Amino acid sequence: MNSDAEKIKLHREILQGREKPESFEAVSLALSVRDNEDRDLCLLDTIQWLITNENWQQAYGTAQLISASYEKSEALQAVANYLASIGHLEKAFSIFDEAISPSLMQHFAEWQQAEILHKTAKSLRLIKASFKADEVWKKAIEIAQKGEESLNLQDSLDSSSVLAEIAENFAAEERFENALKTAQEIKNIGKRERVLLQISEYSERVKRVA
Amino acid sequence: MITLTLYRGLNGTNPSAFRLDQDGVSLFEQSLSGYKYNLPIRAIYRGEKISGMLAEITEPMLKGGIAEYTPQFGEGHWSLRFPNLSGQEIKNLLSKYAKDMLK
Repeated sequence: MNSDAEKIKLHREILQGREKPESFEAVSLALSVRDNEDRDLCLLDTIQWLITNENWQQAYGTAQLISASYEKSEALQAVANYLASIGHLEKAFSIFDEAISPSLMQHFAEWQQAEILHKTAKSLRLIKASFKADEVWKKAIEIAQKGEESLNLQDSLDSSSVLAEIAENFAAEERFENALKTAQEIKNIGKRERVLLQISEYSERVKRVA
Repeated sequence: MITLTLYRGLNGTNPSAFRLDQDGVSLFEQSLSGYKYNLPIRAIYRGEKISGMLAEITEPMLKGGIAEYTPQFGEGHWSLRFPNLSGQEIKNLLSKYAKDMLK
């Protein structure tokens, strides 16, 4: 078996086909994929499967084998989310920090940095780490606003898109002041107007219920 | 019937390279500089090109995709949507298409 396509197919079959396959077999096969991006995706799939099988230690170890990429950040987040779900909060916080470390995120586009920070903040909020979540959101907003200044229209727009998602999330949490402040500063008019309308709808809904 | 090619600038081909929100995935009429790849996606539309105009994606791998002309987001901007797929499914599909086209 030589081609990446064959290895990826077999890897998928291993993860789907058995209840308790040998995890080392799946990791080893993933590592043998030559293409860097495909290898990272296979490792990420392996990690998600290990977490489903409640093997967070091996999942965490496998995450260290992923190259410095968005997929590594996603993998670490998945491990941290699992640990938080079983009450291992201290370890979860440490891995959340690792998932959004500047040394890892420097390899991402600004909108990707802001996106992964937003996901992390939402996870932190879910486990009631609200102060830490707000710190992470603040950082996400700063980075996305920097990304909006990109001369590249697509990168700038994707950064505005993340800001709109953050603003809408604040509105969904009924934190309308934060939502409006974030939304009003969105550079792209189309994204700004769309999310301002959504915030207004959330606000109306809350008023109707009250 | 008018055929056009839309582009998504990419620095990678994994699902994480695609930013997806309620407006869909951003595509542009012109190829973009500053990226490792420009992913081409062909589409067709009929009639006058005005804001809100819909184009059908004609790439066989992306069947079911609809692009809406949305210049309010930028010059030559289209929003790509797949109404019957979830967000993660859309990213996975576009990643698969990108790997097929670019590698």
